[in-house]
Amino acid sequence: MKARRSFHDILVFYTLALPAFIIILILASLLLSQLGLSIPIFSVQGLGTYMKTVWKPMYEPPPHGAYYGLLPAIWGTLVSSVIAVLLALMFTISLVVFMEEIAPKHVKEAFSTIIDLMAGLPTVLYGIWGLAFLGPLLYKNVMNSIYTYFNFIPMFSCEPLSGATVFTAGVLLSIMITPFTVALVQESYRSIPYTYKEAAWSLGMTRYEYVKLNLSMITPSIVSAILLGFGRASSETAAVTLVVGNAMNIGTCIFVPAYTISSLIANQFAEAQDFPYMLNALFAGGLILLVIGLIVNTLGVFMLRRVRF
Amino acid sequence: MDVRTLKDRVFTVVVVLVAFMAILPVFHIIAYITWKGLPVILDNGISFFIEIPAPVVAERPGGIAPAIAGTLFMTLTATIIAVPLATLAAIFSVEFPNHVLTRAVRVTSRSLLEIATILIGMLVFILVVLPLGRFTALAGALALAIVMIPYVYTYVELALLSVPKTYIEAAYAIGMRRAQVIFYVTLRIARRGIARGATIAITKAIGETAPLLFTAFGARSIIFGGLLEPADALPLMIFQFIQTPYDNWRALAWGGAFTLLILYITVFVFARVMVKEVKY
Repeated sequence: MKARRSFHDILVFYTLALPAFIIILILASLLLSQLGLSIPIFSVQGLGTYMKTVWKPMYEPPPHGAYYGLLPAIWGTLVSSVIAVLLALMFTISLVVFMEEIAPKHVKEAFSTIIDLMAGLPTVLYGIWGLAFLGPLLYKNVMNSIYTYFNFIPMFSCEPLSGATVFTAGVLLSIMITPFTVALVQESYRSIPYTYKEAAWSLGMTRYEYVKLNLSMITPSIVSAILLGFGRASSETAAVTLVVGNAMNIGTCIFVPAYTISSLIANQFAEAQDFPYMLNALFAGGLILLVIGLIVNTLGVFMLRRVRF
Repeated sequence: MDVRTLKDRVFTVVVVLVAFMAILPVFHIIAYITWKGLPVILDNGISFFIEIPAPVVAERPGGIAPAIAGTLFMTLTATIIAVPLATLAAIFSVEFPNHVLTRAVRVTSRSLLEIATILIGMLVFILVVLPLGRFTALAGALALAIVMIPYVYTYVELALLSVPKTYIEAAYAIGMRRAQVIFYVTLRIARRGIARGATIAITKAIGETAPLLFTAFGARSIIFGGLLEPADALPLMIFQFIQTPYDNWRALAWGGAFTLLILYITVFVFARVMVKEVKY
């Protein structure tokens, strides 16, 4: 009887362990394929793959014929994600303060439902709206006026030519990541002990002073939301590809069409097999995307753990 | 009015305005897609859902049947792969909480949630598309399954952890074996939570574009070619057709966007109703 029982336990263990192992294997093979398939491009171009701005697919292999420098795409990813995070931070803090401190209960509930709806909305729908509506709107009403009045600032120093720019991508991304950052900040805000809040009110603070105090107590979670939001923004593909303009540009101005790493992969992966080393260059792009994600997510989770009451 | 009160008033007004500004886009997106997409469907009637896209010069745009068939087929196949796999892995984490594999699968699931889904497309391209020598619906379904796994795992694990320990102890006390406890007690009690996890994962899968770009690739000359042929999907069709200069195809993209929106809202409402009913 005892032997059969342990056989039963072993069977249960392996039936359950196998799927867990398969899932780990999927991630391991993803990491290995990104790493392994980017090695060839590094062996011919070295770190120039990440440092150079030339993107020249040709049949003659690099470094003498073709050249695959990813710097413009990396730059585009960073710029669009920074714009997204800054705007999302403004939205996030306002939404959290509004929902937690100002809105009546039923308004608050309506807001949470809407934010949940935003969080799962297929990204291609954000993209098609960004392409047809948001891009032209920003071009006509925002970018042109900023350019006219602030063109002495390097960031705004180039004349926008259409709505498909890295700035548009940043604005669209900020809308898309807001539900995610709201969830992070709201959870911390709610975890502030009620005694602290009562003490603040009893001192006769105004709502502004009270909110400022509360936010200062959860600063690590706001930093964490910035980092994790950045991770989300940098990995988004479909919506960004539709609005970012898809051109190899690098510079301080944000009113130019650009590439992000993911939009570069989305646009060029299918043809990449025709050119030697081009597929490897795109895998090197995937690799840097993984590295960026690893850094911001590790730091973000670390910061989130620092909120303790 | 002193300075403190003034600051407070200005702050409150700014916060309320920005909060409303932040949620305004989603209403505009829904309205705009309805405004652009609904007329396309009304103009073409049932043929919009049962025909293949017409040539770009044709008088009518045709329909999006390949996209609907592909989305349904690939999402269903992905669900059949991802839900059992992730559910069993989640049971493992709950049954053996201190095992090294549990820690590894938790980290894996968190990482898969954060990874750009286009990288999943690249992986499936290398592992499935290159060896088979062609883009296939199977590759698309596998990519979607990988997208779904971390969502199913996370929600099922939560559901399993919320099963009251007293029920499980009672089951062991009457002499049930581990497998019996898992299947007759834990899974039965947690079934709504599991269904909710699966539903959330499905909403993700029906909206994904990036992992399908070079796995399913898109095929529009027949409605559905089979498991080993390229396939279309709603997000893929929208993504590709909206970037073309042809009015017919752009009309199909808008009609498809409206269809996807309705599909998403339906599943979203379904998932909400299910949450409200979870009670032990």
